[in-house]
Amino acid sequence: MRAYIIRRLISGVVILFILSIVTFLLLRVVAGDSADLLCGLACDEEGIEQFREKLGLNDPYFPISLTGEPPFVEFSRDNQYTTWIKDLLTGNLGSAAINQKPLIDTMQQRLPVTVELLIITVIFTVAVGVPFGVISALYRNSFSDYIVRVTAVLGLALPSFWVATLVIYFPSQWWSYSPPFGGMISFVDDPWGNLRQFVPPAAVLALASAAGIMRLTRSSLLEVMRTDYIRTARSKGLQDRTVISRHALKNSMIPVITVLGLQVAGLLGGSVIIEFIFGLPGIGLLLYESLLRRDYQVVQSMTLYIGAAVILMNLLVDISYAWLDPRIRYS
Amino acid sequence: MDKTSYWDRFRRQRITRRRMLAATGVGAAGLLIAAACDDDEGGDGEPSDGTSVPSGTPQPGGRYKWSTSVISDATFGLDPHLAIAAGLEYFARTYNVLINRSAVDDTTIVYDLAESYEVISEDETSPQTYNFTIRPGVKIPPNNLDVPERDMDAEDAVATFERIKAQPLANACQFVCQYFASHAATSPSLYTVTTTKPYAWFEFNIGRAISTIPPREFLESAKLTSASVGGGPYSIADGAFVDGERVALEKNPVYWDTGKPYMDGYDVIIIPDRPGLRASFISEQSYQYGAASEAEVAELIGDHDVYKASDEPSYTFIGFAMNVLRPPWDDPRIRKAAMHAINRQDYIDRVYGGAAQANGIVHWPVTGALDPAELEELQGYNPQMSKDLIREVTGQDSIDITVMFPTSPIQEHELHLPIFIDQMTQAGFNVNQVPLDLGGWLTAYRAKDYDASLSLNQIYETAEIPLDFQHSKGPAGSEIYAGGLQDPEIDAAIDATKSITNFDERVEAVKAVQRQIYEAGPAFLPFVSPLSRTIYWNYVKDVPIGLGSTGLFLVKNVWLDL
Repeated sequence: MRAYIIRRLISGVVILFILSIVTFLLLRVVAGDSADLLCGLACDEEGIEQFREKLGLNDPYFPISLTGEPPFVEFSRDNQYTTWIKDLLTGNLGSAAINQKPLIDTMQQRLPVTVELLIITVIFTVAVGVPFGVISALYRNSFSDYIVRVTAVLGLALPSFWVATLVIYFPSQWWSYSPPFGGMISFVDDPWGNLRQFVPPAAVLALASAAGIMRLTRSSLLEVMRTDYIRTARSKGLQDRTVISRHALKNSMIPVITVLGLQVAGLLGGSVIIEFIFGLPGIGLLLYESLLRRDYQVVQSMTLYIGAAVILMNLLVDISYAWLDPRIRYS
Repeated sequence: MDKTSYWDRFRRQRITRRRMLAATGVGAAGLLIAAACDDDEGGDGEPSDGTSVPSGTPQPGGRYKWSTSVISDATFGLDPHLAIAAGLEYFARTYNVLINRSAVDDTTIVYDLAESYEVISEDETSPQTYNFTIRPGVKIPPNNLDVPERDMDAEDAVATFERIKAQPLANACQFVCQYFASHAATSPSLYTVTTTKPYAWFEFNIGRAISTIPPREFLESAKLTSASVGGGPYSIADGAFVDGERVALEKNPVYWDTGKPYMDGYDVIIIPDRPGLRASFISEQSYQYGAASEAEVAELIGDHDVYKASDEPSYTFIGFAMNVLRPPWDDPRIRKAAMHAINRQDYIDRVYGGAAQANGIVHWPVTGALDPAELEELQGYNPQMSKDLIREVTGQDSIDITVMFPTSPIQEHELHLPIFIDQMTQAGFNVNQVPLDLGGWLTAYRAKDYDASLSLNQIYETAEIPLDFQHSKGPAGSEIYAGGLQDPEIDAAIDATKSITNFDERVEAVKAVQRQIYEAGPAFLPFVSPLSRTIYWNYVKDVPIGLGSTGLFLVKNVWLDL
């Protein structure tokens, strides 16, 4: 197992390296940079050049660059990519070009919002998705099964931005109510205010996630229920509840855990649309703002962070398989 | 429901500028300003200085809740000289200007740090000297920003304008760097500016939110971008400004205008999305809301008799820029063809539900704008004429053009674009669309690296910059963004309007130069200017309406009848 984890971690590093190059290059392919926006509307070319110099945007992209004249290759110590990676390796995520605020400070400010949103979303997803998936499987082709399945399809089909808009719009129209806006309300300071702020967006996010989990739980459980060892367990005279909870459910959870893990990884990067609509200053909104501002440093570091989150979550999911199903062994 | 139009509310008290200045010298203008600033407690409740409706005796206390989608400038935060965007709303609330003369109504002046001023000039063409008498007792409140609690004086004005002059990126640099020949604090209570030449909009520009005067010690502080303290009605404490989330303003307890501001503070929250803004208003997390259309105003007012609406011009427009340095726009006939291709009524109806007005080169309702009948004659919608002009130039029924535009989520831009493309196509233009994100668009626009472009929303209260779009040096005066018409005669005529200090003569000159530009085929075409449709809860009283940005300096009069 240890060797497996080390192998996965090494491959993760390789993936992150490739991701860093791709992100770095893609950001620079598009015309314009943060100096344009930083310099303001009255700025002329000279002013923009000064900003580019200050931000290091005039440095070569990579340590090696091709030139049109012999020897056709130029080496440079001061280059944008190496500087960025060096900083990352020393724990320095860099600073936002737009205001020179260290990204680590901004992350510390924004991450709690995204993490709380993630936790409540996962709680809703599991609390709704798994039980209803089980009910749907156990009472297959019954009225309750149809209700659950139709609801699940609706949950998957309705776009979350539209549902979020309705969740904001109708309560305000009917009851003059809306979730509190204006930055994160701390759970410690005001638990009720905090829940009022986070439950609606988490519920919207959980709608599609729970629908997916519901369908997956149902199909997976149905498959497991048809296996020999379940039949054996029943023939031993075990009660249905025991068969389902101790034998069937645990084994049917493997694909569910996989999908849930990927959902968690996705949410760690923040939900741009939901955070935007509910005015939650999380990681997603930070990424959106930084993209608009062409803040290379923030966007590339954030992309790498999201990549790392996905790789780690995948690893955790894979490790959890062995715990869920003793037949699975990694070597 | 309480809904009156801008024009019903806006009480014009037209007197000539010369009379106004004479009156200022002896303090008679104080009467007007008293009307502008002192609708005191115990008064008759009549609105003053453009304030909305009779509203009873002002009650002190309460905090104003306000949600906005406009975030502060991420780079410069609350720096009053460098920042833009939401910062502008806060500068006027926390700092002082010397005076503010409304660009909309030339007769309305708010006296702030200066209690009076005089203008000395030998004649209409000589440089002018402005002597501002500093008001005694404009106090800086207790603060934790290391700014001494003292009276503001003329040295603060000197420090501010020196800083603006030294910062090429300062928003007011174009004004200060170009028109300040010298300035000095002759004494703590007298600030003097001598201009390089007569400048028509001097009093307007010196009173803008981007020319506000913080205490000189604070100009050196690193906190200038994240807090505000000065002689204004409110201040922003250290930590009360959270970028992109919220801002809290606290009352200045030693504000010079005793008894004001009425409210204890402002709580501003940032909500990026419109449904959230609307919901925050209905749920009373905000006391005001900018409706998207007249239909939304009607819907909200109809549902809730606790709201009132106000309409006033927004001074904003989206326009179409043609680069005359590149074909086919170097041909005036093609520019005129584009001019006649634009059906402004279509924008008014489809984008703004009827609540907007067609613009000429100088947009409505800026003084000097041409009247609608004349505009119809000069630039009226006539696609057949467009086709005829195109045929005259190309010998064909249509012409290929390339138009770039920004794709970032800019207010109402996405609604203009399909109408524009449709109208141009119908008039014989085959439009090759070049969508660019804001950064890419700005780069190309700044370098004039485009054939034609849809502009961002522009906001100007005077005719100066709208005319500069037709000037060879462009709107920034440094040959970026637009190259105007490249016509020295028109450049000279535009420059001349800036030196005419007589109000009536200036208005006529602005109109005359527009006619000249129409003759040459305009290089920049503003579409329409909408009404700003703001809805307030009924208990919000005495909101300054109808004075343009001058209203920012009168928010001290707002009170809550809770």
